[in-house]
Amino acid sequence: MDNEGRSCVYGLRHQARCLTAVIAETEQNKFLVGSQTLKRDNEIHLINFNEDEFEITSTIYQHLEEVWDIAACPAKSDLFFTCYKTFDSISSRTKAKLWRMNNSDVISEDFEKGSRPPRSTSHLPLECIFEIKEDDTIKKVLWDPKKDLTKFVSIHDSSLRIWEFDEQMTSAKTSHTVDFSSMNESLPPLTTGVWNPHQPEVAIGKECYVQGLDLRSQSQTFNINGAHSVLVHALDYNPNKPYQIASAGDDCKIRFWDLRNTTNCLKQISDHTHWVWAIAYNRFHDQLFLSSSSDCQVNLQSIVSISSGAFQYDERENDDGSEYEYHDQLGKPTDGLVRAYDQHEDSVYAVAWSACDPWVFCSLSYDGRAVINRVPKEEKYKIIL
Amino acid sequence: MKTLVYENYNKFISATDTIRKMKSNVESMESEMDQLSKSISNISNVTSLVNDALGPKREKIRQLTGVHDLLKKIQFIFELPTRLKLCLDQESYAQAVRYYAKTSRLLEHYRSLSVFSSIESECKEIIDKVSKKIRENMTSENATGSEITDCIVLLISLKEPPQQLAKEYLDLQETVLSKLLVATIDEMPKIPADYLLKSSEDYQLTTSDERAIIELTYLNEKFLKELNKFVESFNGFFLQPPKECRDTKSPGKSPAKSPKNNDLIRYVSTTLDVEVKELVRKEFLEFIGAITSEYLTIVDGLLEFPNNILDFKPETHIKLLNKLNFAALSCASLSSVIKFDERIKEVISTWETGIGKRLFGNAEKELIEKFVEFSEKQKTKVFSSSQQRFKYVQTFVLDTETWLTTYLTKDCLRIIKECVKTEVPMFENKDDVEKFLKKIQAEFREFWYSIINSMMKYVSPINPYPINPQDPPPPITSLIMSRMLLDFGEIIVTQVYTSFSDRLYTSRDNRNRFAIDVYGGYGERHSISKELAQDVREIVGVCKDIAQRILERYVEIVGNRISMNIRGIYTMKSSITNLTDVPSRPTSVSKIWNVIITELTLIEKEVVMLYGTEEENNLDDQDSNSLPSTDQNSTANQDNSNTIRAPYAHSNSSYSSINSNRPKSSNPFFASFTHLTSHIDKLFSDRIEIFGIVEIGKPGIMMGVIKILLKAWIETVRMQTLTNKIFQQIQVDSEFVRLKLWKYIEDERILNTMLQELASSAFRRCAEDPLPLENTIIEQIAGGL
Repeated sequence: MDNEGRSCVYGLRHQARCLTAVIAETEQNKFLVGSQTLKRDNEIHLINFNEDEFEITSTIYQHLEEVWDIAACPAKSDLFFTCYKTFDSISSRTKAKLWRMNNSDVISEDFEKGSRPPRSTSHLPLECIFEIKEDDTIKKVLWDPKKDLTKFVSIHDSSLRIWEFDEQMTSAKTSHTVDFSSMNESLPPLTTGVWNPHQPEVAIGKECYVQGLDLRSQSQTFNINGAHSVLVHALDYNPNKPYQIASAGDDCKIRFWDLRNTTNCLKQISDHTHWVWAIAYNRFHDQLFLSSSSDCQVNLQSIVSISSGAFQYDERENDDGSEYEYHDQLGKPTDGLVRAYDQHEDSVYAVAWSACDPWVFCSLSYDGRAVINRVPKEEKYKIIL
Repeated sequence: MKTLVYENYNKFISATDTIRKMKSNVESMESEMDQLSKSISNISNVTSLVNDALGPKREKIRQLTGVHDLLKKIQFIFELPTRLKLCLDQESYAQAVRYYAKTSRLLEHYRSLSVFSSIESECKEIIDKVSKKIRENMTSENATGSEITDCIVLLISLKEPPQQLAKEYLDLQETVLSKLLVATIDEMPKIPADYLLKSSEDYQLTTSDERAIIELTYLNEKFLKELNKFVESFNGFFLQPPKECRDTKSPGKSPAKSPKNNDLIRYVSTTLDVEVKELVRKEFLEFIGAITSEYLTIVDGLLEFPNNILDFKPETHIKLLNKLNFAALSCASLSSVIKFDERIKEVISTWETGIGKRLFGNAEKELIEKFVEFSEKQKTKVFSSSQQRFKYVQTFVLDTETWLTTYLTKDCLRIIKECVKTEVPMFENKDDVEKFLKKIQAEFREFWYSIINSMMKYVSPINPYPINPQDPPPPITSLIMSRMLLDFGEIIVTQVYTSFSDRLYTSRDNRNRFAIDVYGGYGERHSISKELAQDVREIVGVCKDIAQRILERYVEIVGNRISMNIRGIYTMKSSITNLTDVPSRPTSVSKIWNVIITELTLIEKEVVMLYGTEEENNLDDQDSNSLPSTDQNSTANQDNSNTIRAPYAHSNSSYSSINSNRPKSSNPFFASFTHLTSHIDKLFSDRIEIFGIVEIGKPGIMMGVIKILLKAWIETVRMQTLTNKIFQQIQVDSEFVRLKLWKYIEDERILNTMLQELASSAFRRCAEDPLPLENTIIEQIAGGL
């Protein structure tokens, strides 16, 4: 069956704002979604998208507290961090836990049966490995994208901590703390952070600026002052091209920077009509770029002119002969909006590419709707042919 | 028949008589003719006899004359050395060379005869001396260009090696001309004002301040002429020997025909190898190119526009250009060698473009300066009352628009008109005028785009911030710019173009003026000539477009600024401090909302001031003969107080009426909290675009700002975890906002939808069991009781 142009929708029945692809899982399109309700127990949904069947199956895990962020381990598919919020009558605390999903066998059994229910109704328990609760304002946990499981980074309201796992990964201790609180108290907290896949560097977003931090020396590597007119909300490094980072924020813009020269941005996209909350480079074809916004839209952009693929297409232009003609027919990939997905009815706070199939991605809106889409065929053929 | 014969009887008689007479005459004639022929043959016999007798003597005389001629020539040759010596002594080298050129071939031919060879060698000796002398003359420091040329002519006649000569010639002229140029430039400022009176130019220049013209004339006389002469002769000598030169080159003929040196030039030429010729040509062109460029630099200097473009007198420049044109025409060889005429044309066309650039560039610069100054003042100046500030803003808009219109239609138009009007040969040709106007038109178009771009740039955000960030202009600047661009689009552009069209395009061909009717923003008709109509439409479109975009930018800035206020409120932390000694339910509207509403009111005032309300716009539609801003601002002044008050009354009444319609809940959003309803509602409500197209006019602008504010509020609440008290606080605030925003909004559905969204978000983010307040209590608090 040709499912071109169709999308697959999964409802959580809870509100949700965080989503991640299970990065270590390269056989199946798996995503993790954490729900966010105050009145009921929360859940972690492990969503599995089967492309051949064009079907979503899911496994649901119990997670008492509301999940504000979720980070899957890049090396082991059963490990992930969640950042969650607890509260009592006067205050709320955000902490993080490293979890293990123990029941991967259960799922595979389900598969074999073939008569599995579309959604498992039982809520499976998660195994908590350890908890971090230092300073109660933890926002986000970053794994090392180089799949090195000795370190991780946590981002707090006004600081950044570098942690070291012990040998069994059963606990961790802070090795360094970088404090950002020395600045004006009234400034809003750190908003986001991302780990550079090319070198030990973390970029953080705060207020209107984006800053780079060398993890070895804890010194600042770059600082883009006023990267956005209002808050910076999301960052992502280009996975294939060193020194390129994308940033997005409350001014509805997405900007691309060359970190070696940040006096001007490489490119600016302004297709959203409200704050941009999440952005993601495609891990394989970095000319494909996703963004999601509280205008309820998910945009798939082609940024081929500044991608690692740009050179390849330049060369093609010089070729002549039949091959060129063929490409001429298909059209070369060009910059611009490939498609805007408007299946969401509420703000879309998260978007993620599948770790398995480079053409599959998932977006999650606040009303708990996770939608799985694929890159349109024409665009796909433009890129691979 | 009888009567016929009878009538003509007389005639028959006379005819018979005549015939008889003729018969007698002919008989004697025959004998006379015989006698005549006999006599003629006799004469011819005698003549041939005489001729035979004289024949041999005549031959002798002819021989003798030939010998005499030869002897004369030989005598000339024998005398040659003495003559040459004499010439050398008298320093009449030209004469010497001419003698030698006459005879050198002959001598060469008869070299075998000892007599001739000795003469030849003697002559050579002397000629060597002569050539040495010539060279001396040539290289002497005081030698002028024409002297050098003369010397070169002589040397060429003496068959010196041409390549070397070419080089020497070039080198010498190079120094001479460069020196001449420098000297001329030095002298230029010192030329007496009456220089031109002496010159043969037929221009009547009476004013003494037109120094530039004098200087150019002087320069052309002194330098350009020399240069042209040199080019002409060099070209003739070395580069392109024409055919007839070869023919006339044989000794005895050409010198005889050309007794003067000047004529000689035409007939002297050399033959160089092709390769050498190319080499020589290259060097030659290099030098000529360089020196011409220097010349043109000076000309450019003369054609500088005055610092204040309004002082500019196009007449002078046009005369200068005219002179240049003439110079180009008179320097035919210069033109043929390095396309001098084209370069002059280039200068002229650069000037034409330049004048447009300067005129309009000036306008743009001043306009932006005005804005910068205005922005600075907005930041620093303290106004005693908001009324005063508004007045100041309005005057600024009005003044700026009037200034621009006046500048363009009066000053710029005057100068351009003068350019076209000045009756000089350069613009004699209709095509030339047309070309000039085309250039001006292009520049004018460029000018509008440039203005629009600079405005856009001035208000657009700079990301990232530069190292030394300047304060961004206050948001009102964008609002003003937007308003102004709208005025441009609605009327000013059309007006300005109309007057351009009237004054520049009508005076000429009437049939060219396909009056195209262009309708202004207020429906009035302008007839604009065909050439301009396209531009007008385009620019009007762009102006409106950019006005829209700048307006959106304004809404964005203001909306974001206002939204910043809500960032920190409703956090648990902020509530804790308030909570301890305060009763468990809110007693008043959050302070920040009062601030926000005040800011909104200010923004509304700004907007009303510049965009007016609906009614005023209608007024404008009716009378729009003059600048719209004039009317608008004056009406705005008068109506300000009324129009602001009116909506208040209106909103109050409508509010109460709605209240009565929904007796149970004045704020219905917090009453129903099931997820389902809000989802269903959402399905049916349109998607609201937050930072999107802003409708021009007060309601659209206010709606834009309010949408940004409310959406930010929703998003902020979603990030928080609320206590019951904060939830109730939001209830109160929401009602307060609804009361206050009512009057700004035309379509209350959007407001309701968004507040409902807020309510459901707040409900879900409330950690405790939310206990909504009674509506009556909310109304009391929100109403400020």
